[in-house]
Amino acid sequence: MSVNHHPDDATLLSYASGSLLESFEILVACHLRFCQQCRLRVDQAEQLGGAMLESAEMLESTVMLESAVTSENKSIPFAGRAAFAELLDDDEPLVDMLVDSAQKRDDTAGLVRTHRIPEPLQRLLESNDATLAWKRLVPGIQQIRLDTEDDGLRLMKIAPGMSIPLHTHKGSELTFILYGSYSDELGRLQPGDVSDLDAEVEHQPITDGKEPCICLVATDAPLKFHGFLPKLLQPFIGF
Amino acid sequence: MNTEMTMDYEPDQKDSIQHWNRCLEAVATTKDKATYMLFYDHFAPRLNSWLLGVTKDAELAEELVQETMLTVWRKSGQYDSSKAAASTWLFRIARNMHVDHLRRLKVRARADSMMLDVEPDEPEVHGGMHYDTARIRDAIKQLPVQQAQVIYKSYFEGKSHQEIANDMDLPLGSVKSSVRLAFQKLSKVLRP
Ligand SMILES: [Zn+2]
Repeated sequence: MSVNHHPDDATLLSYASGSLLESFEILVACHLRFCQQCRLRVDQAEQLGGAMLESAEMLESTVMLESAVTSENKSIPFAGRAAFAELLDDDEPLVDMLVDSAQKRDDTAGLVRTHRIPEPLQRLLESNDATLAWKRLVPGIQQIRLDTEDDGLRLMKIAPGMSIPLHTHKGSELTFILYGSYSDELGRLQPGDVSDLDAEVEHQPITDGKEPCICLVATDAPLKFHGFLPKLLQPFIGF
Repeated sequence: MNTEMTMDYEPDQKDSIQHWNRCLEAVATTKDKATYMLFYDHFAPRLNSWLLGVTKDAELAEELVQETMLTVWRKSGQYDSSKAAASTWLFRIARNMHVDHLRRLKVRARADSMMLDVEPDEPEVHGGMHYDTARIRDAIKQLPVQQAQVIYKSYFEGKSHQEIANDMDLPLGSVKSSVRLAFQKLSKVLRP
């Protein structure tokens, strides 16, 4: 799979800092699975995170924000130090070697980033599963709303040659292509690609090819459709 | 053997990234608790002020600090300084703990089919640890205030672009471009 469209650098930085809404986080994780270039970028943002951890005081004085945590002097021992020293004393490293294989799973606990992948998405990542319970919105467009913390994630299945009504969004919109393809003002999107739209961009994607386009869409604000007919769609698609 | 390992890094170089990388490697080999407490004393307060910013909850922040520092201790055998700086490794673990907590997931519940990991283990090529803290600090100081602020809010307050836009009364597009520009400037410093 050759990937040509990537999330914005700003999106990747927020993924690394852990500050994306869960819907966006899951979508970015899907792309990372296929994109070495973005994995490296996230790696760099994590290095910056580590460096900032070391430079917290300095950053706080640079930003001059009232909300900035007024940091205590970092040379004063942390309040939980004594409790931690006790924890450490009780910690028996040998126990680690005795755990049975069922607990071996824990080996990577904390070291590997995990995501709560909704089941229909998991099935689509494995194969193009025809048995999913799609809900028809209008002729040619079906969707499955996915369960996430912010409720902003859904799968969409769009028939070939279908034009999605012209819309803008107040917030962010990320689209990840799983199967098929579509084109909009920004180019042609194929499996693995992500379209990362700034607010206020007006776009009108058209599915091309002979297959339906199946994509994952994360939004943080209702879409705004233009024109009379699309307005009829609003209650079905809007959040 | 312990003394030999602890002598290995100069105690007056606490600002240098290599110092803490070597310290964590020493912990991995010797499992020496006193050496680990030096690492703890340097990072726990910093971790705490970061977690306080993202959680806004002093008790929870402290709990996550302890949990993270205990995980680092237990997993130190898996630390490899050729792949990541100690501070990067620590940041990742703390971030994972925090995000897991946000999502109300206990890492121990990994068997749950809802939480499959979609990322491959690690990028095949690593950015490595080619930065020094002083150069990053200089680069941060040179950022325009707005860019430093959006970066601060992303890392230290855990805010999404939309939340930052609301906070700072800026259009979402400007927030995204400020984060993007700052990231591009700061990541240049990461290059060897
Ligand atoms: Zn990419």
